[in-house]
Amino acid sequence: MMGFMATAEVEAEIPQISHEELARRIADPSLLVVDVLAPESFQNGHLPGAINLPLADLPQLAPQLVPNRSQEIAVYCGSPT
Amino acid sequence: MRLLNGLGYANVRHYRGGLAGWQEAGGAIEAEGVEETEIVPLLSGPPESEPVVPVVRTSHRATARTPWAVRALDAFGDRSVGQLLSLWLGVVLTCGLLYWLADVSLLNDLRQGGAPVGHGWRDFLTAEYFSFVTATSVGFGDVVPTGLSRVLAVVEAMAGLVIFGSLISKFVSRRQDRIIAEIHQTTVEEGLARVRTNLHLVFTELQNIETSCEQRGWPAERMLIRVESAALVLVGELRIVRGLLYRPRQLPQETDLEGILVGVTLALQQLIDLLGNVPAGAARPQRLEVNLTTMAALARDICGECVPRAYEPHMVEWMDRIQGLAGRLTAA
Repeated sequence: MMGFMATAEVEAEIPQISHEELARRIADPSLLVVDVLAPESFQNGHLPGAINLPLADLPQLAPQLVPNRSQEIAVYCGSPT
Repeated sequence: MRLLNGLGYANVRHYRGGLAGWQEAGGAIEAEGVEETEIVPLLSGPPESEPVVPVVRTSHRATARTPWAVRALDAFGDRSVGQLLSLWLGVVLTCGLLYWLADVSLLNDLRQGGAPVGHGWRDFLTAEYFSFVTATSVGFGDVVPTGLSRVLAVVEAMAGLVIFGSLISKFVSRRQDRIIAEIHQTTVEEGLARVRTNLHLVFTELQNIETSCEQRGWPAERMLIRVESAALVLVGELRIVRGLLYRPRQLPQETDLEGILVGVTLALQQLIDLLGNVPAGAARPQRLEVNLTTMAALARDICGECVPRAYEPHMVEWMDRIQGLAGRLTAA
């Protein structure tokens, strides 16, 4: 119940990217695809062209790997949310 | 996602399907090995504040820069003990056969006591015997090669040594690996037990504070100081729990993990209740506010959907409850 409330809150704040748009623009260099899963999971498989920013290291890694703060980013985790 | 927004990235969108949704919809998946070329487009953007630090990526595959000899040895090292043993036996038996065939083809290369070894099945065994003596680098010298067999003997002796050496090192490292794994497991188990104890201590401390306030009528300031110190411990433990979930060096047992998640839930719940009892006028110490924000951020990461491994449904439920409490923590 509380988990549901928290998820609803997140949904209201974060804009979504649809599967169609992502599939269409997956090779588009202006869209950066970010995998927030653990490195082990990333090595096993990730979306084409995605970079790995594990949630645990995100605050340190993100400024190094993505210096441009206005970079268009699509984020995904493991299972459908 | 919110974390990225917090870091100043304005143009972030969330792909809700996740890795699983992408695959289900028939999207292609890339595996390890091509990351290095992929970072290039990102760095083309203008750096705003921090200088770009090149990130060293370790790859399991040997790259072109590795010397060929090391790569060849690595190739042996990657084989199992059984594979290496069969390879060695294969090399030795094949060479024995080749010596014998060289004899049969009338080259008469192998000599025993000065006389050529014959073509019969006993002579085949002699050839195999010579092959073993050569490969183990014993070299009794009762059977000697001449002519082309010498070349084969040199090659066989070298190959035999390398393969046998890899085999021996494999045995030694297996023992070491087992000992290291044992030490590691003990450390991890102790760590898990400590996290559980600390979570319990935080929970009882928060309960004590609550009863002290109700029964002895402590002023809010005094209560908040004690809450602050408990919150400090809780932040540390949450950090460890998050590390367990996202960077597992070893899978925690589900029962251990569940105990920890229950502990986190109870402590957070108690903390929220306690903060709800603080009179509205009382000013919270600044450090407590900082700790609460950190705590909420850490707890928000413990969400069943984003944790990479598949856990039992009831584990995911606990994680989602923790995430829900995190939302209330910042609201409280």
